[in-house]
Amino acid sequence: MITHLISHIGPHGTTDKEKDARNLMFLIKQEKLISNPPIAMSEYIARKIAGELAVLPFKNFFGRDVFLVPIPKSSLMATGTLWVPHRLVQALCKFNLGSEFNCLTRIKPVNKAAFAKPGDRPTAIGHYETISVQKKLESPKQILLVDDVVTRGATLLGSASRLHEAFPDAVIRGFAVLRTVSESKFFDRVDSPTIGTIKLNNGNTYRRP
Amino acid sequence: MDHYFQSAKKMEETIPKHVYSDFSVQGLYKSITPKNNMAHVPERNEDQDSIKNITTISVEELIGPLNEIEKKYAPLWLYIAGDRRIAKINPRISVIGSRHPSQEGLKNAENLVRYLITRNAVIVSGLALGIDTTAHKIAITNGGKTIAVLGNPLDQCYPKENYDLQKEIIRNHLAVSQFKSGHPIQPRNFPMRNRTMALISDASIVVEAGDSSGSLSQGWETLRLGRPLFILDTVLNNKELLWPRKMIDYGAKLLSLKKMAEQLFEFLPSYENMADTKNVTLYT
Repeated sequence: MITHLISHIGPHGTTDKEKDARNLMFLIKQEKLISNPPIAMSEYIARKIAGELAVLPFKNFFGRDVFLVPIPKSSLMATGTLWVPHRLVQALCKFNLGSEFNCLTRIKPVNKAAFAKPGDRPTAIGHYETISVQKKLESPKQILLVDDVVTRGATLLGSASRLHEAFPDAVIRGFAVLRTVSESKFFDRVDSPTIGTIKLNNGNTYRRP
Repeated sequence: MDHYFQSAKKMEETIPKHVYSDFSVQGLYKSITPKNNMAHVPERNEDQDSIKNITTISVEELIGPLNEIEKKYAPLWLYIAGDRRIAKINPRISVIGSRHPSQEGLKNAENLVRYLITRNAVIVSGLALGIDTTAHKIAITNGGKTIAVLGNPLDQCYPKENYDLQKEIIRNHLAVSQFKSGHPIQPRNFPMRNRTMALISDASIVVEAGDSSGSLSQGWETLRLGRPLFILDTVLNNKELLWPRKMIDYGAKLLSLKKMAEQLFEFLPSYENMADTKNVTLYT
């Protein structure tokens, strides 16, 4: 599957740019407001994508006919909880980058990838088994899964598999605002929109780049 | 300043109530209590860093702009006394728990706060007995900064045992309340206060709590706000408790005192004036 990533982060980074990236992650994950007049991070990101769409490598992934699907949280979620991917989807819709299709639900919690040790992280299959999909009468042609941060991509891949079952004819892609990098040497700048792939091999998920 | 508290101390001696009101008879809090809460424009005090007055302030003025989710239960006004700059330091971490903790719980709270202070975290708590009191006191004695979020107006003290602690926090730290002077102290204040405390904190840590503890309302609000909620893993030693497992299903994380260095700070802001987000470099 193909993913679209606007920036990347190194959670353990120590350089100024790495700290910027880490702070950016914090702002996004908490839906903080920035700039003056204040604007929520989700809208800031959507505005940035809309403004720069022509030159972004993943411009064809957005469009009015694309169904934007927010990725469920790793835990269960009470009504009214901050759900960043959903906020991103709503913001992207505001800028006519797609239409909201909120069809995935987490039915059983999994270990949160960001907090778990590498060995304990939920697999793509684990995500697949704990996410349910609500079908739609008409069949969407293009679906874009939307998430805030992608680590290995297991959540995106598990969700995409569920969606593929429900909508076998749809083209399913994924988008995350941030991608993590495991080592500082792979980190050069914060703003680095990229297209990559996520693959499953022997139960493990591999993301490139 | 002291004479205000001395007068209050006299009241304490003459009025044998478990709630002490008005330790500001000499006009300490004259500037608060807006006549019409909804329409009141907060009075400005040029000397904001002193503790001469209680200042009326909006939550956004105190900690920065709020998103829609955060606004849902945010109080319209906050009454603050102390050094308001403390509310702009990150990370601000709530350390909360039972009013009747075990010795182990108190020890854990102490170790936790000692560690957080070494990482320059501001300790937020509710000035209740038990874990809250320990959290504030350890923060103060170890050179840290602390914010007390009260379930009563700032010119009253509840519980009475924390009179001196509240005085110290107003003098050298920051005390916050959403209840204006004269507001009655009633049970429903405290869940409201707990939501406000969750809002002010970047993360919350429950040290020890029973299934009916007020700390749980803060835990649920922290999860609703999408902020990190940690539960000390020693809580799981009590197998009869239902809440820890339920909160874990909804996104709370277990925190081990031995491993907190790696578990706590990964997703917390680590620089000052985070609330002033317009200064953050976003793209380079």
